[in-house]
Amino acid sequence: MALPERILESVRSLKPLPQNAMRLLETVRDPSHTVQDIARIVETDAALTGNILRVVNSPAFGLRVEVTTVARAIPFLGDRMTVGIALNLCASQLFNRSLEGYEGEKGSLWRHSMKTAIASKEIARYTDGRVNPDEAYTAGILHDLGKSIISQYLEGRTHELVQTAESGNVRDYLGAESETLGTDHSEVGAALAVHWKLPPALVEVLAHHHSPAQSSEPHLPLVYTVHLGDFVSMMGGAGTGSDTLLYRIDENYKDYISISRQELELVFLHTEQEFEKTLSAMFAE
Amino acid sequence: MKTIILGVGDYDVTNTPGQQLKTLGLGSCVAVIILDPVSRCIAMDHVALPESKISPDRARQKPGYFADTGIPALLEAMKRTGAGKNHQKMIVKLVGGANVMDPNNTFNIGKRNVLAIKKILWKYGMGPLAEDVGGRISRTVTVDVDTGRVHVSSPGRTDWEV
Repeated sequence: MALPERILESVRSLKPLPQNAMRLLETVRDPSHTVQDIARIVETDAALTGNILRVVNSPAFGLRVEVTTVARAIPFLGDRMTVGIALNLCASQLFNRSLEGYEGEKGSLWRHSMKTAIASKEIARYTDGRVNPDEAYTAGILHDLGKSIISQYLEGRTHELVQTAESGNVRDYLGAESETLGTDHSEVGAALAVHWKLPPALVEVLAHHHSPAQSSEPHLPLVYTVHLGDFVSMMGGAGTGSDTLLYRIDENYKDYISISRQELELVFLHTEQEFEKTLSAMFAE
Repeated sequence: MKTIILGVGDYDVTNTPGQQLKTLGLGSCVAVIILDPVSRCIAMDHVALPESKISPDRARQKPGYFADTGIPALLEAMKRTGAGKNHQKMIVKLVGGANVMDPNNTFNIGKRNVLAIKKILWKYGMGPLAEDVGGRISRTVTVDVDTGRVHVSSPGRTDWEV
C-alpha cells in the first residue's frame, strides 16, 4: 500500500530523532549495558539531564536527600524510565498532540504509550527469554506514534470510523482508517520509524502490532509481546479514544508467550501500579 | 455540580445534593453502581479484577479494586451514609466489562469481572436492574445524586443513559 502523498510528506517533514535518543535506544537493547553507558549519553543533553533530575526528586520517589547527578539518578529511575523520559522529550511534539481524529484528549497518546510500554515489559517475562523486557518497553513507547501523524486527517470523521469498525465489514479499526484515508496508523508509524532510521525490530512493531502474524520471523516474539501489551493498556482504560479495543487479538500469541489467566491478571495489576507511580513522577510540579 | 472522580479501584458513596460520581476509561473494568431510594444515596465502585486472592496486599490498600472485596466495602460505606439494610430495595446497574474475544480465554477479564460481580451481588440477594457491559468499547460513566441518572459516554459515539 502506497502512503497517500500528503501523509508521506507529513512524515518526511518531521525532524530526525536526535542522536542521543538513538544512542539510548541502541544501548538499552544490548543486554550487557551498564548504568554508566546510559548516564554518559544523558549527561550530554542539558534538557534531558534537567528532566531526569526533576523526576527523580519528585515526591513519587520519596527520596530524602536531593539527587544532583545523572549517575545517581538513573539507578533510582531505572534504565527504562530514563529512556522513556528521553523519548518523551525528543518526540514531545508528537507525543503531546491531542488526537482529535480519535476524540482522544491531550496526553492520551503519551499515557497509552507509557502503559503499553510497562505492560509489554511485564509480558516479555512470559516469553521464556525470547524477548528482552527493555526492548519491549521501548517498543511499547513508540508503537502508536503513527496516530499522532494521521489524527488531523481523521478529524470530524470519528463517528463514521467507529461505525465502520463496529460493522464487521472491516477487520478492525485499522480497516476503517484505511477505507477512509488509504492508509492506517500502523503503516504511517512504520514510515516514521524508517524515516527515523530505527532498528528493524522497532519498524516491525510499529507496522504490525495489530497484525503480528505479518511480521518477519526474528521479530515475531517482540511484535506479539507489544500486541498483547497494547491490549492490556486498552483494557486498563488507557486507550487513545474512539479506536480503543476495536482490534482483534491474534490467538497465536500462545506460540511465543505462555501466560495463564492468573498471570495475566497479575500483569494487569502490576502494570496499573507502575503506571500510577510513573505518571505521578513524570508530571510532578 | 460537584463531581467526585473515582480512579481504578476507588469507591465512594454520597447523598449530597448537587453531587455526582464519575469514573473514566472503563475498559475491562466494571463500574458497580448502587442507588438506595430510601436514603437517596448513590454509590460506585470501579472494579478492575474479579478475585483478591491474587494480591491480598493490593486488596488491603484498595479493597475496591477486586469484586469480592469491593462490593462488601461499598455496601458498608453505604450503610455508614445512612442506607438501609434492605439490599433488595436497592437499584444496581453495571457499566463496563468490555471484552477482548480471546479463544485462549485468557484476555476475557471483562467477562470474568461481570460474572464475579453478579455472583457476589447474588449473595446479598441483589442483581443488576440494568447493565451496559461487554462490547469493544471504553466507557466513562457519571451518576447524579439529584436524579439517580446513569450517563455513559465513549469517544466517537453519542452519549446514552443506562
